[in-house]
Amino acid sequence: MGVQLAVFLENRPGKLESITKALAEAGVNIRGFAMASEGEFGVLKILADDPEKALQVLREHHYTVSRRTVVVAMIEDRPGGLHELLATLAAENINIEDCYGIALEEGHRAAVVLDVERFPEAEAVLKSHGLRLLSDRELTSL
Amino acid sequence: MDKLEVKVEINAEVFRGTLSELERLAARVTAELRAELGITPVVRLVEPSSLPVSEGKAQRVIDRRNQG
Repeated sequence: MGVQLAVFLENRPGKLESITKALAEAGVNIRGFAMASEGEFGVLKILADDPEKALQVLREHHYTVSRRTVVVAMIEDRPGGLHELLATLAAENINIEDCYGIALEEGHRAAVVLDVERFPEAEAVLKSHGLRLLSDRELTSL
Repeated sequence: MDKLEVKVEINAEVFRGTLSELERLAARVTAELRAELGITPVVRLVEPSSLPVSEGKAQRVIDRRNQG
């Protein structure tokens, strides 16, 4: 499992930049991110190398931040790799709130960040199907 | 026709980190205000500290009906 930060943002020019600036100045590295917006507002999801520091920095800059536990599953970086992961969860009727992928430098594998409704069960199901899940420590050292 | 716009600051107490929950919150605020006031407001979710604080002469209601 990993810690994902979600930041509430108004949908205006420069908002994302103000966040990346704050994190960059604090020496926090963003390992993965996803942005979803709905008209005038949006949610930025961040996987940081130091989530607690990122949380502190964003709060100091008066952002509304939420901290959630997510599953980070390793898949093979090939056609069908993502499908196999999603089919495993679908077979157990586990709903995904949202997800995004990170291609790893080595080029053979990818990590998929899953925000699921039934977190512990999803983790157990994926492990039982032989999928490798990243710990907090592994995540920060990707 | 007159329009009522309501800005709602999103703080950590109500933010769970998903877009769907924010949409539900905006819909709930809209429905509750409509039930109370009899008109449908335009609800806008804004960042913290966007609205005037309560100290001094904070202007929380802005009437733009005579501004064309």
